[in-house]
Amino acid sequence: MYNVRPRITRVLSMIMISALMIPLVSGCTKGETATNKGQSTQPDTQQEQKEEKKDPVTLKFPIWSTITEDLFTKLDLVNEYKKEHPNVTIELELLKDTEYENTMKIRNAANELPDILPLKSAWLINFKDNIVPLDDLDAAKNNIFAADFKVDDHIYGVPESQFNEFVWYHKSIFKEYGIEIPQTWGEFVAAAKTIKDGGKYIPIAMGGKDGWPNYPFNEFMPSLVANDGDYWSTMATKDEPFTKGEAFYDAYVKIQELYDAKVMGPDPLGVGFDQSKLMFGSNQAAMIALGQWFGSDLKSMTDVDMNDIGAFLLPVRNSVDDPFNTISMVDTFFSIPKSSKYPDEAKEFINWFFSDAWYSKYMTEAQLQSTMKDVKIDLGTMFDGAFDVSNLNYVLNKGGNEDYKKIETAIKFDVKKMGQDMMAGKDFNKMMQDMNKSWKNARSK
Amino acid sequence: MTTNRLANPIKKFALYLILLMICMIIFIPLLITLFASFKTSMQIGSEFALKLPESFNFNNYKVVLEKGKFLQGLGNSLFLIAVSVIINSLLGTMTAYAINRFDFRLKKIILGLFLAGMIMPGMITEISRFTIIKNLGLYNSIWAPIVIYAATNLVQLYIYTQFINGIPKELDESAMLDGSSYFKVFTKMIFPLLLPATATLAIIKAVDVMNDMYIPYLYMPSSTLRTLTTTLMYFSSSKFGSWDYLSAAIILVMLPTLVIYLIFSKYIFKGIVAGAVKG
Amino acid sequence: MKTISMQKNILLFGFLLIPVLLLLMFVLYPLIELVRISFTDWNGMAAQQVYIGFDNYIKMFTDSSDVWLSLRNNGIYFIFHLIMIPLELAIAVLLDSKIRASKFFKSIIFMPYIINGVAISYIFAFFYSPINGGLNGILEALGLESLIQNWLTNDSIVNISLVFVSIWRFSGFHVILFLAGLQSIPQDQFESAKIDGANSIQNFWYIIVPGIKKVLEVILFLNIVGALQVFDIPYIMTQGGPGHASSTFTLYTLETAFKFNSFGMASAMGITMLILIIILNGVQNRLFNLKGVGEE
Repeated sequence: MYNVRPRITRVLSMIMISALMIPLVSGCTKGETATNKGQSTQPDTQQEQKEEKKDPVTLKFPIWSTITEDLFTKLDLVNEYKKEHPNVTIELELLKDTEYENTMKIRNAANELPDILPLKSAWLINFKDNIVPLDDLDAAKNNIFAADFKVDDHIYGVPESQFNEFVWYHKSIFKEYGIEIPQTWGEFVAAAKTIKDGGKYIPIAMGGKDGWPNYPFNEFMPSLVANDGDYWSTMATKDEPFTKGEAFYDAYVKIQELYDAKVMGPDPLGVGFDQSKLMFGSNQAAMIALGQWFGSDLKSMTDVDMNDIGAFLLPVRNSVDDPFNTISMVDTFFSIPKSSKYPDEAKEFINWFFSDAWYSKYMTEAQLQSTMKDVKIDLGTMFDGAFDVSNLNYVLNKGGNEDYKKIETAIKFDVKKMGQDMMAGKDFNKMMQDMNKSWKNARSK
Repeated sequence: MTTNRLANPIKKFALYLILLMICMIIFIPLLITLFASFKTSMQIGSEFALKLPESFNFNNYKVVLEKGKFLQGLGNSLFLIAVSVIINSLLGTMTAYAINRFDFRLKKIILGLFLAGMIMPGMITEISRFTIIKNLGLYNSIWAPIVIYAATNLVQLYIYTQFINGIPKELDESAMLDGSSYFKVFTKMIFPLLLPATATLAIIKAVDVMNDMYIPYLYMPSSTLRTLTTTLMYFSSSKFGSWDYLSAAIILVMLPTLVIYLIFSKYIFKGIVAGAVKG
Repeated sequence: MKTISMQKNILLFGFLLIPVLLLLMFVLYPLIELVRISFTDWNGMAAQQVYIGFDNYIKMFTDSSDVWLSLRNNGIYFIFHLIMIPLELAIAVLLDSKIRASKFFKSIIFMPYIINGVAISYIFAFFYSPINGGLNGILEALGLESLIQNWLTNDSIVNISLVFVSIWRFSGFHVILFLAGLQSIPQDQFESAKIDGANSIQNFWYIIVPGIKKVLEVILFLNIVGALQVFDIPYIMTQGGPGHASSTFTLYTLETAFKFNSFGMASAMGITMLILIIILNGVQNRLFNLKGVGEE
């Protein structure tokens, strides 16, 4: 054995030396480009040179989606901002969407949050002790929705985008079966059944394995039935919201009806989101219920005929005479952690992000609706006709107040898991009874 | 053990049949992934998974290589591996030598801490670990994972102590009689004699570091510090993942470890045989 | 002599300083914090932490049945891996006999262990998929359509499917360890046994088993730690679903900590897990009359 030693040592040390060299070499080249950049910015106007005397600042800005990263790269966010603020470097950090909240909680415990912290609306309450109020920020004042999401009477985050929830469908399949765009819940379920009876296509693609893709139903329908965007908070005032006649119960009866109709393929719980997307894209499935954001996803898929794809708002009402409640989602709240060393620079960046210099260009590219007064985004033709329904009524979705959060934590209330259980065919009445019991119990504490 | 036991040709046939079946069980899932990496998302969605791809379509690989900044990731991974392996072999051999050859107070406690490090519930203690790394000023630098990888490694310590156990104490003593110091005994004798074990452990450590995703992800989020494995994550995010790219990324992430493994597998087995189990 | 003992002290200090510092920072401190937080109601975010005594430890087992379900699932991993151990040993014995291409087979069998664990979970998520998944496709091709299952969503099958992935990943490693144990048995023992007229069963009990005792110890220890801490396979492949059917104790702990903001409770769960590992390892070593890892 010992006679092999010199050779192993030599081979191993060769590998190590070369491995050590690689980053060094690439480090050198990086250094060079940096100095080049520095030179190119020098011969600029005097005013900018004055600005350059400010200390260099790096703002850390995490994002949770690769699509956002692609857009930021395409529109060159970092350099666009540098043009106006030469001393500020925006450092993007791409994080995994499913890990984002955990990561930020860990970093928060060590006071290591980034300088700009995008949050989902439901997380604002969790982070409120750790972020600064933005009431005086211009971007907040001109935002249509920021004030709707106040926590303890302060604006803590400026929302970037607003979008609606759609059912995406293949026009050709609807034509094949002579299906009209459904206007009521009953028509929607009937349309799915018609396609199922045809035996050719899966009516609705559902990535039930991942849990979250059932959100258009399990998360949003209670507030649609209640016509109350803050329905979670309302629920927290009730002892037994899982009782017949309550909006949650009525909504879930509808959802159970849909799941029981077996219109989501042989095993929706075994399919992940990526596969459900493929099923829809490859014409195996006729419909898929997802938010507006799915549009850019579809465009990025090869071989999808975009002309064949349409979108309609998910109808939840019982008859055409009722108001057509539809969810309006406000997402990606820009906030600034208290631990940031450069709160002023961060505020300035947020103002810039929502200004003419960047916002409408970016939102048009992302195909999302504006949250700013006076800014309208052209969404192209994809949603033509989608909003032409009678009695349309927007329900602004909110994440629930602190009372609700307490109950949610205490009983680990998770509507997406409930949705999975319903797809798996668990006893619905027992589920509702159990929920009533634990809900009441948690409220009494 | 004994050749004559296999004289019976039926037995022999059965034996090879079992081994071949095991190989098939190991290979089939990998083959499916390999095939998928050459298919378009539509083909993956509609064809039999074990159907050979119609052509070697490298489009998925192209996208993954470009978007994932794979070469940068590979560079970072190799750097991490090189430094971790060096630090770990030094610390590992030194600790094992001190623990195996000397008696001192605290020895039991140190061993206990190594054991505790192995069975500690990782993710829940992450907040404490993160605080430490931050206070050391290592957050968002490539040294954060290196320090963490160096911190505890019970299996490594175990293998090294087993190995040192196999080196007769009389050798130390005669060297000492010749005037060597303990330090010299370690550098001139123990460390070189441990090299076969070091080779094995280095390869295992290299594979571990290469495959670790969570620590680099959490401790160095800067986009210039992505490793090979964190790029895999880039293609698997829940909303934007798709099978065509993900399978190409999986194959690309697997390749370097497989190459390391196939070149050095001889030493892995030798090291394990020579050290792990003499006791 | 004086110089020698001083030399010894200097060497011990020099050699152990860094490892001990690292242990203090990355093992002892987190452990103390874990114990401390387990007695508070900390939510992971708030500045204040109220001490609430043993509440977390009591609530953990009384509040929800999911914790028992999760522990049962850990048990499934443990038992199946335990059942695999004799099979792994048998394969090692096969490989140890002088067969052709044994090196080739050895390399293949060890290979899953060196593949990225996250990648393996994705590979199998696809393998089990109900839509064009590999496994159902193969069953169909073999004319065994009746065996087609919802591998990851049927409550009563999902854990078995996941355990198989775990076995796929780790069994090869165990085989190689056993093989190493077998090869460290001196050949002359078999020869003298042959002279004494021992049969292969006697060989097995009186030579092989004692020869691999050390390896067995290691594998049993790794099995306990692995089975109780299993996390990434269910996390990536099912997120513990459907419902909590394939959740494991670690997965449940993480959910408690991060999704439901109960760090105090999660820490109590972490401590419980530590104690479980220690107890189980002790029981197992008693049972098999082994010395155990770490008890040098």
